[in-house]
Amino acid sequence: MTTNLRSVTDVDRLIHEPARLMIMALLSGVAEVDFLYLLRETGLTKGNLSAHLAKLEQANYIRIEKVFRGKIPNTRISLTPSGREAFEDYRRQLKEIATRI
Amino acid sequence: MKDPIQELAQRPQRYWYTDGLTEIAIGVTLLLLGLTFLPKGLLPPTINAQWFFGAGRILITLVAMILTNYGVRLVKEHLTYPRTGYVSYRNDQGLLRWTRRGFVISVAFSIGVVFALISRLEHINGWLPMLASLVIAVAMLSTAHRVGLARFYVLATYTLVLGGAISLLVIDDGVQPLVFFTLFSLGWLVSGTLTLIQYLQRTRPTSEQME
Repeated sequence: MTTNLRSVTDVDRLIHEPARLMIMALLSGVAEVDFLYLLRETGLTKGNLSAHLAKLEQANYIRIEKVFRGKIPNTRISLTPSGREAFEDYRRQLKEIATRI
Repeated sequence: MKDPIQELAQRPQRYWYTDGLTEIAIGVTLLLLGLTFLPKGLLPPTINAQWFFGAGRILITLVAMILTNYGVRLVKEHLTYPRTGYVSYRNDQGLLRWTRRGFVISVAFSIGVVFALISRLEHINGWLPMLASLVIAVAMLSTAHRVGLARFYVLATYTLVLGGAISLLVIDDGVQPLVFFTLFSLGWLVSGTLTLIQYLQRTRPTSEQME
């Protein structure tokens, strides 16, 4: 396999999945969001979104924090420094691949 | 072709304006600014008074901006976040934050001084609304491009047309700024209110949480 083709398979597959890519992209420009915002923006089901967030949290790409807004529980999500770096690396890789095609 | 990932990253920036509250707040600020031109005709035409109102208007504007900013955040806590979710934006920290604020205040004050000086030149005094609307429209176009909101392009166009019309119409210099800022604020208030009505009609409070 040539170096050019190998670089395509080297992309971070955790981020490359469309739903998770959407989540990472939405988080990349902000400090944090809550679960409701991601649910509405991604259009995923509650269970589907929860599963993707769990995978990203397991990889230490995002941080999930349960807080209270008054008496109402609220789930806050933000990118970790390693998650931000992984996302930037992923974007850089994609751009490099796109210029070579 | 637009970068789809960049478009996704832009969506949370656009979200801040989804409820129209910021436009309503800006409209209120502009209305308050317009009201500061009311007593001008009652003052004696002394240089000190002119300078005072130039600086005073900037101070009033900054205070109104700060108050409306807190007001907008407070209303969002109770109205927007329970309906469509919460977003917290990345801010500058420490020295960079205060440097940026100091720069904004300095620029605002400088613009106020320049406009106060220009207002003393009778032959171009009447073109102040056009000049002001040009500066404001450029700022709005920049915001419209950054967040990708079509109605901000409409507001920028409205601002330019308004500034030109006010400058061309024969209006007494004493009330020209009041007329300009009142009509200007009306555009923002109408835009913000319509947006808020639409937002309230299509959303309901919910308490979706992670499974």
